[in-house]
Amino acid sequence: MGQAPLTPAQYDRYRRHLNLPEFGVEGQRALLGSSVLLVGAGGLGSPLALYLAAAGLGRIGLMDFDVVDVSNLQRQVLYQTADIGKPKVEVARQRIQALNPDVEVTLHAEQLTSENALEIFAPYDVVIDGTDNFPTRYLSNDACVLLGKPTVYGAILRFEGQASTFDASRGPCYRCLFPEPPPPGEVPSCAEGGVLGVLPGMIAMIQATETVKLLTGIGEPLIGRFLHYDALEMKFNEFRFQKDPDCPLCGDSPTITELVDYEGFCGVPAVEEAPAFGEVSASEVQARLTAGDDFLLLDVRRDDEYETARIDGSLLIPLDQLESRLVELGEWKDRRVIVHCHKGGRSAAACALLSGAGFADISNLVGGIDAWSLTIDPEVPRY
Amino acid sequence: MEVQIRLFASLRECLPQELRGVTTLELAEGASVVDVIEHFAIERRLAQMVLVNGVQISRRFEERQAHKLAAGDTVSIFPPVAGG
Repeated sequence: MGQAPLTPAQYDRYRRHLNLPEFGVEGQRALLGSSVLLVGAGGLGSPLALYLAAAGLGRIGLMDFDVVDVSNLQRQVLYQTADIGKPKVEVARQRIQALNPDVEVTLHAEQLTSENALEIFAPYDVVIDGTDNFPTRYLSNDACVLLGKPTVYGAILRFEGQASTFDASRGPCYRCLFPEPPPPGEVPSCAEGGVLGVLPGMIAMIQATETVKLLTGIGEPLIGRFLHYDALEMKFNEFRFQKDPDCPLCGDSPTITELVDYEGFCGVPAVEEAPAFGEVSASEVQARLTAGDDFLLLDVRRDDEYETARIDGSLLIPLDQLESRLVELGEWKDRRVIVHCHKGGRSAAACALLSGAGFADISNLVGGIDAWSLTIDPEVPRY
Repeated sequence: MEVQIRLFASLRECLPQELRGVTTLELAEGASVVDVIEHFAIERRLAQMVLVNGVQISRRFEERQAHKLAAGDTVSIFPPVAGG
């Protein structure tokens, strides 16, 4: 923690902190002597970076390798329209330094991997998880537990968010709640599922508050508590949870003792590359069917879903069997293939898989069979 | 007996959109959270965090089956969420 005395300029800048008896000069010196790493400089990372910089953190590390996209601007408040196409961490550094020159900024414009995680995390006091994908979340949690570091968790989808503080040395970790990554394509990302633009601000402020508390030692951290926020109901719910003795990482008999990359079995890439496949609407698929176009309509849902509702003429290969049954699709390698699932998430994963396997003309049915039921054929039951 | 169900995040899609994941379920006496998970056909790795009346239930299958629900209980299921 920082021991350097505050300068007169710092007395002026942090006056409102210094006036808090619980915080005072010691609290401010602690912040100025601390370092945090923001994993992800997106919806959560943007307000986190701004508020932590304003609060007077000594060093902020920013980890993100993305560039600013126009669709980010609805919620990622670090960036402006003129920043489109620029590397996020570069823009973020300029914003932070313009806001508060006391803050030293370290950039990590790279993807988090099992190879680099421990080395990158090691110098930081707290790691803040604001990433947008499961492989990075699990890797980030695992690295923090192995290094004995606290991590401040936040996640968002649509109109709701969650936050907690994990510190395996005195409470549960992320894997005590969610030991395993979800199956491929079963959980939509914000890109697929949407997110209310103001939502990440709310969750990020909980994370920022937790971070300041951890670094200054004031208050009660969210350790062992899971905070859920519903924007539509405007309600917070808190759930208490314990360290799980069966946790594969921090439990009594851990089975995870070193870092591994989860990209393979999460099925969701940590790198959001431009997809090498197109998108079609339900009405376009109907037009092609009516016109007798040459194409394969591939359904990648489960057998039981297929029994419940199907589009006539589709071929069922559940996503978890697709890789091993590619040979059945050999004749379609150079012909048009349109893939669908329930709502478009799993079929996007299937499109990526087919594209990677060399299929030339792959499209995802936007909204899946649910869109088909809604807009084309109400006889196909929704579920 | 009737129990309250609260499904969160992507699991809200198990119910019609207007319900936003909230409903009541009529279950036989002696039913457990396993019956609720099976009723909605929720994949095992999406039903890792299950609470009854706000208290987390072990994810061990035997313990989940042994935890009998009572009329008026609230079962909440949170899937993992990745968005940021």
